[in-house]
Amino acid sequence: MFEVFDDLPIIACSTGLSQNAAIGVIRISGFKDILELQPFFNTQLENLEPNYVKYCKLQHDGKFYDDVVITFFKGPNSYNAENILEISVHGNILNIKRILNLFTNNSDIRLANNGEFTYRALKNGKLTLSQVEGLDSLLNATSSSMLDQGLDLLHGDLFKRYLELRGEFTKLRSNVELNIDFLEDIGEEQGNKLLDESVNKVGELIESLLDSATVDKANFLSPNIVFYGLPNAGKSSLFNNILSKDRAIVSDVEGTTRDYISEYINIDGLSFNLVDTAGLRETKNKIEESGITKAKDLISEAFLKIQVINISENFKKVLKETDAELIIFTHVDITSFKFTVDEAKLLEGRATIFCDLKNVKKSSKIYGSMGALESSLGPIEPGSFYAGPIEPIFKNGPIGAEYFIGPTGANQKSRPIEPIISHELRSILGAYIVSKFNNLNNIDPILIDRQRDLINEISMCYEEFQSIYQDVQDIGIISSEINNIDNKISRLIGITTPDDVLQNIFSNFCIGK
Amino acid sequence: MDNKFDIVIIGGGHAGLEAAWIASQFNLKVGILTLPGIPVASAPCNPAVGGVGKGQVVRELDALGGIMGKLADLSAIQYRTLNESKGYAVQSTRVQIDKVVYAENAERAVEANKNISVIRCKVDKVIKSKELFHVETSVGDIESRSVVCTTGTFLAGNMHTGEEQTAGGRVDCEQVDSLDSIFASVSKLKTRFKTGTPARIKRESIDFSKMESQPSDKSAINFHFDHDPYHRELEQVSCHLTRTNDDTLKIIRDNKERSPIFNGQIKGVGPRYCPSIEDKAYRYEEKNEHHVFVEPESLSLDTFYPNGISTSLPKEIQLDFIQTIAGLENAEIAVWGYAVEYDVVDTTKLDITLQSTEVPGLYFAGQVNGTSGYEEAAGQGYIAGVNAALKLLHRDKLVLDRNDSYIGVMIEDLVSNKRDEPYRLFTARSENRLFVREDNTIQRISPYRSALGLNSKIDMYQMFYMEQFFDLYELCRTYTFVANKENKALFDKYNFGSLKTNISMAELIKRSKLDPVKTLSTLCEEYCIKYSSEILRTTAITLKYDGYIDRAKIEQSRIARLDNKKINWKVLSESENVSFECRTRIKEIMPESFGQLKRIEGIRPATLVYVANNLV
Repeated sequence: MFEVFDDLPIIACSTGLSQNAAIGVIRISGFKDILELQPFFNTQLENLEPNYVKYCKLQHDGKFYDDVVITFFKGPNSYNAENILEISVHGNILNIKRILNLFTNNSDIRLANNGEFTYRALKNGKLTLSQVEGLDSLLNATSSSMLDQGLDLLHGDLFKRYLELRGEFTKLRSNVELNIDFLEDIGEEQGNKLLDESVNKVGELIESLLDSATVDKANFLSPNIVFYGLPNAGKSSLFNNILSKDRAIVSDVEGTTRDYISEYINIDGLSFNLVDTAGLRETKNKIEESGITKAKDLISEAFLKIQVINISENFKKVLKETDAELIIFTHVDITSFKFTVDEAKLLEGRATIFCDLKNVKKSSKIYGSMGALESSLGPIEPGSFYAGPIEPIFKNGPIGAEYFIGPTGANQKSRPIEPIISHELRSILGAYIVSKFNNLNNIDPILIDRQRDLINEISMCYEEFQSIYQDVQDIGIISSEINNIDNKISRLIGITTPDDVLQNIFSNFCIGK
Repeated sequence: MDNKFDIVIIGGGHAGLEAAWIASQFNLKVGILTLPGIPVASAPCNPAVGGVGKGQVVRELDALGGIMGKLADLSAIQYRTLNESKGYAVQSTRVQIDKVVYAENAERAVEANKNISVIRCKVDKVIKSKELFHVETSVGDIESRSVVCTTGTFLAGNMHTGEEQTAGGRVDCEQVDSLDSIFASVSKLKTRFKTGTPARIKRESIDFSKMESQPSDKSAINFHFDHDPYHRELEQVSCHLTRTNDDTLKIIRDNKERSPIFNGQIKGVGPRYCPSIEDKAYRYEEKNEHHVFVEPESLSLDTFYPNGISTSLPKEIQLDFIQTIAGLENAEIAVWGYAVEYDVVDTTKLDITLQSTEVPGLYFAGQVNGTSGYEEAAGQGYIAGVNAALKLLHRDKLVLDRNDSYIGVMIEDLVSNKRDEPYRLFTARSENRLFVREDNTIQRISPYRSALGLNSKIDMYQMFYMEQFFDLYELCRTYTFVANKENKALFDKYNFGSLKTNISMAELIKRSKLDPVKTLSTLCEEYCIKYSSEILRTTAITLKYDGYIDRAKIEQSRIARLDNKKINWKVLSESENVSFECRTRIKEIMPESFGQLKRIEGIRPATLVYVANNLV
């Protein structure tokens, strides 16, 4: 893993060396005695009180280097149980590099490897393997879920779930042994009862972990909200409208959006990626074709798929084929329409939004779509809308917005659809998205790949075990299956050959942590 | 009296006998020094040989040329196949022995062996000078090139029945001094161990009609290779099952302060897996129904051994609680139950041949090493005896791998870990339980036996047996049932299930719904293939578990990588990251590898995680 396994003192800049900043923090870890660093400072280090900051001058051989603030963390009461000195220096990259050189050239301190500070924390028992994975999550998080997961692991909450599983599993193993070695003492009936209870309890724990581990990770890391639909359905208009800015080029020429465009939006403090895709159609244009391929990939991995349909076109085929959970009909102002029974059935179980893009389209400006929508239609006459065989239901959609219709049910009452203005479209959509996301988060997602893989393996082994447990009386085989699972649980809580795991983890770490 | 020996064995119990028996096969002169008044290989506790895991040991001994299996067969009065409903891998044989016949046969065998002399005496001191041991005994001095100490519970033994205390290792003979005075330079454990035995009950006072009868099992297979598997030498009798009840346990709980185990009179540590009835009463407050197996001690004695109620309570309380048990209402006691505390050798100071590293040439085996059970004692006796002999002959030592045998498991456990309670073999102690079975003992053991180069009858038998086994095994793996009409009819006829594609005979035998042994027997009959029932049985069972064993081996090698990593127990025992309890255990046991640490009972997962992380 590391080329050097020595325990020499190490140094690194913990705040990054990619751009100039006001402050840079340099850490030195693993020196035996703070006095070893005396040649570099003008203050008496023996008087330095741990955990207190001290302003002083960084100097060497009579040469002044920087005004700095230092903090001494005395081992074992430090991040990694070693003596650590943190030096806050002026954050110019050249300055920081010069100071790093100063130390490495004039002492036995060497530059740290990636993650070596944390590696030492692990080695000294300050962190468990699972906490290190948590830290990795925390430092490299690109989503709030990943951040939460990192904190969770650091505080050991998830680890406790693993330990609980291991505890119950140990009980199961003891009950198997009891059934083999002491069956005469306890009697067969009692033996079977104990075993059954254990098997069920462990099963429950594994199932709950599996729920947490099988969540679609992409949904947490970069939840994509993807608009898709036939060319010219109005995807880009919606996209712009929601973003409140013109990002996509809007025109009524089909195939305008040839590549996908994405933007981060922040809804209630959660970060999502809004994606506008190329219209899906057969095309001979190579560039457009590749846009469509990309769109298909994006759609399949999306956190939320939104099918956009121009209501004035024949949408039956699209409705039949789509697996989107949210459908937005556009251009509802242009033409009167009615749903047939078949069409209505196709809308069953999905949230539906009707909206009008008339004014957007009329506008020759490429920007200002928001304004356009705000000044859109007045009340829509129900008659023009719902002349079809079934009446639309203005019942609450999944998040209680009246703009949704769930197109099924028998006892509906008619009510005019309010015109949709942009901030409302945004808030409806926003509430829908947040609620969906929170539902996912309710099951305490597990996002670390190594742990997800192991939980999946454990669950698969357990399923196999259960089928054997049910139809085989051979306790030798049962116990063999159990050992198989046990080894995986041991690996889950970090009882494992370290070389297997650590390489991966530490390679993700930034220097200085 | 002959007073010069190659090997002197101090103690004539199961360990001593087995040590002498194998050493004598190398044509060495062996002396057994044993106390007057008790026969060789007597059974001071429960009159049974074998059991889960232990049955394997008896068969391993038999395949190695030991004597226990033969003696057990010849004195067996009730057979039982344990775990019969739990699959072939964990089945074990146990026999109730007629303890009188067992000891008589042992005495006779030793007498007939020209290389073994039995000397009835008390040993006062053992001194080593240069390469010779001088043993001072009550009948004069004896000289020997090596010594095997198999003194059981006799070293500084102290017996308790209620407030009464008597010096001695068992109720029927005299006391022997502590380990210190005999082997001044041998380390022993600081804690003494304790074991106990129940009262013996007179036959005519027992009402068997109130108990569940457990007759002898006709299908159980004899231990000794040269005996007809199903031959019964003696008349077969039944054991009987009865149970304790609320009244029984109330009496015991009401007299807690009179129990030497709980009032501080006994300080020794007893075996948790074989608790006295007091232990059961005080530790499991809510449970009052415990099994009691009433076992005959001999066809010629009128005493019964009530298995499950060993006790050191005062006599009148023993009688009171025994008489609450169904069928024992009028019980009369022949011998009172008692507990014994005794000195134990520190087995971590022994090498893998059970030789003391402090006094080369001196071996320890049996209960003196802190084990319990006749089979465990015999297994160690064999290893000490054979290695004492091999060393005198300047030959390579015999070490049984723990993956091949329970004896190997036991010896490695003993020498790599300090005992903190009496050691008994469980199948759980083996990492390779599916392989270390009774049926394949000869496959597992014959390479070790043949390496001794003794070329006796057993060696010829094993050679022939292995040839037969490989023949049939290969046949099963290579013979294919083509999915044709004829074979489909055959499968239907015997309910073998469907035959959609071609499968080998081995695959058929592995089918989870089929009994492997019955399936193979049926096929052999169908095709007129003649093999002995033992060969058929072991081949079928081997095929059944092959896949599981292979997989376990792969998993194990993964674990072994971690297990073999060295750890620094000193640092661990001072680490603040390890709980106080675990630190104490670590200090006591001084584990040197992760594997040893893991095997310590009571080590928390959190500690293992911490240590595993530290191994980077």
